[in-house]
Amino acid sequence: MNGGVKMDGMVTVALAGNPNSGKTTIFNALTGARQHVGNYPGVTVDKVEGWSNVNGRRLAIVDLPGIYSLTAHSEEELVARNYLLDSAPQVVVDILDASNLERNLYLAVQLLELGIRPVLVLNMHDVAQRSGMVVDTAKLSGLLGVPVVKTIGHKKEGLDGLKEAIVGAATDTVPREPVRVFYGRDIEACLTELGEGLGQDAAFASRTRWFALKLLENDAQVIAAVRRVLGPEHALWDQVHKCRERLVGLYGDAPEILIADRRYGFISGLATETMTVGVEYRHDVSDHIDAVLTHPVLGLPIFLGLMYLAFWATFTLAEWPMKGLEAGMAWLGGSVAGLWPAGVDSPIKSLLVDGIIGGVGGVIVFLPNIVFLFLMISLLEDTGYMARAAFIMDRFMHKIGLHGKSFIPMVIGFGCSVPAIMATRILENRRDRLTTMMIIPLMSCGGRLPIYSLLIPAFFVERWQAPMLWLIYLIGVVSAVVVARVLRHTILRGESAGLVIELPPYRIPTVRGVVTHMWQRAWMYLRKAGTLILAISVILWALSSFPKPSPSRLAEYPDAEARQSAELRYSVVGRIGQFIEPAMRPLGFDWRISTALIGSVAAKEVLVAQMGIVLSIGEGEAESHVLREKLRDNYSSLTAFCLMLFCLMSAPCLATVAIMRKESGSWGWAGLQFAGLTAMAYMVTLVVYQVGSRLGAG
Amino acid sequence: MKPCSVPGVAGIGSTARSGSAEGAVSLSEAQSGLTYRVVGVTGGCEVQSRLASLGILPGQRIRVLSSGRLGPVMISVHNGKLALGRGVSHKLMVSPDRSNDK
Repeated sequence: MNGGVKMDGMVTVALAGNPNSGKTTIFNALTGARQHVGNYPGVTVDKVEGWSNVNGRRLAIVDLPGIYSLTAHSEEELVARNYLLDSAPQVVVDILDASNLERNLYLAVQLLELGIRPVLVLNMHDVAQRSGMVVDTAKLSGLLGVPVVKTIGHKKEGLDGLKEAIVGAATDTVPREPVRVFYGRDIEACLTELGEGLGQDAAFASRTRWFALKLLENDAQVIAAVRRVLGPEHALWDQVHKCRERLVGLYGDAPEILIADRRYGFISGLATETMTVGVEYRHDVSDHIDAVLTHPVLGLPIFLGLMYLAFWATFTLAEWPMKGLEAGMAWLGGSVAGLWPAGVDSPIKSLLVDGIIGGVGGVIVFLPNIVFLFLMISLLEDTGYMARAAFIMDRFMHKIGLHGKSFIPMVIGFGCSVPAIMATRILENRRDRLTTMMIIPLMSCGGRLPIYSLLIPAFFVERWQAPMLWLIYLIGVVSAVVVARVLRHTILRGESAGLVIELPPYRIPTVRGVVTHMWQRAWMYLRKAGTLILAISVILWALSSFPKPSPSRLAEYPDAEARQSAELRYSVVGRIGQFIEPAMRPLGFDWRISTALIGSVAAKEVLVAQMGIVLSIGEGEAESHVLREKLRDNYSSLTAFCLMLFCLMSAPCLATVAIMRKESGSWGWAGLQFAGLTAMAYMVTLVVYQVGSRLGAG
Repeated sequence: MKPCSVPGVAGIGSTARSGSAEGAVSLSEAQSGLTYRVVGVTGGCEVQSRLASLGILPGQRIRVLSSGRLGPVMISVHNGKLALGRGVSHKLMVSPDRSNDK
């Protein structure tokens, strides 16, 4: 495993360690800007890779997700474990928080059991020293048979020593006996017995002890893998079952607990021999800060205040660059359109200007939002506050069936669903994450605001306008809660992970760390979601532009707006609108509203422009009282309310669909969200309209 | 075989190892500022395993930093601070450590 340098001189290195151990800071320090974020196939865990040069040697470094253990309980742990097993990096570096060595060594022990000889890094050892801890690194190194170095990652101290240790480990070919934890007579007997059964198959022969341990620990992934090779009828399963029962009978605990216990016992022994610990727990600055920030009374208002600030920063600060980008795209569109003589209507010009530039503009315009959002999230996470936020909100979110951290993406959803769905990455549990992602579109986003701004003043007297807006938002929140509960009881059923979160000491984040993180996310957004959104925009443009009525027929219409309206009616989108009209009538919608709704799939705001076109007024602004008058002439206030309701709940815009696909990992969830929300919107609106018209409100 | 449920076992650790289980309460009922010893975890396998990885095992001493019957509880274990949500703190059984009597 450790040994041999590839012919081309490139050394593969994996960085492992607990979350909050400073692993990523060290990764950033080693690789600088030479990083790349991708995906591990099949799961939504980021694969972070980087490159470094040490003494002429090229290092390819993978920053594994932060994990506490190598069990099969979380996606991150599985990803890390599988990477270590399948990709067999030449060097594994385990980064430990020196202030918390015992718990951090738990992972190191498991790496040793995998047959790996990690380079142990005691990071942030300045903090440990200040609290009185002294570690005999030479002795620790000798006892475990691995190199041990000390670093202070964020001060870039000790990095040279680390680089040397990495290169040293890569060229070290001395075979050594792996260090073993002694699990006690009974467990060891079981391990030997199971090991014999496993050793007969080449797939497990090189690691029988590890596989035997995992079988005893009831590791779901290993059980499945072994079952695939040996089959469910093999005598081994009987042995495993008997061993487990025997151990429970002897010790009163499940084997996984016994095994974890022995590992910690081993670590405790190590600690006694190599460390002198200072005071066991010291009240420090972090505690004082926590006394305020997690205060039973003050904690919540402070949290809400910080959320407001983050929200404001993400949307208000971003507005300037967004306007700039919009202006830029408009200028670009105008310049390209200018290549054709005025008045000429060429399909290629339309494709370039409306389709492609319009589509690209739609994607890029989100970028400032995304950048600021991740700046905020990085700050919250790197300072350590994010964990406290989850702690504070858990009490309330628990009642809804959601995780404490879900609050943050949901609040962001009031601005825009796209960054909100991306923000769900802060949730580790997949079920919690999916549930939160699915309900985010119900938090009425900024894109719908123009619709409300158009309809509410048109149909409701001033006294009722603000309450109406509140009502819509409230309905959104309530339905989100309801849908979350339904999801948790049906397809996303299962025990909510239960909040178990580490509260790291408060830290001042490094500028480099925050900026790197932010940049990576923004780039990922552009690459993945961007291309998809662009593709769908172009398709939608084509569907609303073609087919066109013949010029002779168009000449019948009195003015440009009427012509536009006729063109829309003639196009695919228009025809679909007319086609679905019978289904939409019970909701109080006619073909014109239906057509506009289809167009608004591109982006919710588009509904206003489409309504304008379809009512032969042109793409006027929402403020246009002409448009409002026309609406009043044609529709009732009940219909207007139903339209708002429908827009609130139905089909999220295609940017949301694209990001949903990307973040959930499959079209299935994105499709379910799209179809499910639309179906729900349809039924709710149907009931409201039918009941409303019976009650005479129509 | 269902994970973590071995027939006939409630999952509470052997008293021999964790010391006396008398006075055992759930963590949600523990008082802040006091030290406790872990007795065991009732129910869920995933919870047991996650806690075990973090060192919350029968016999381990923990200090309660901020208590909560209705909300999450903050504890210190092995020099690290953890927050355990309501569901988890209801399932974690602890008994007061004798060092509190000093």
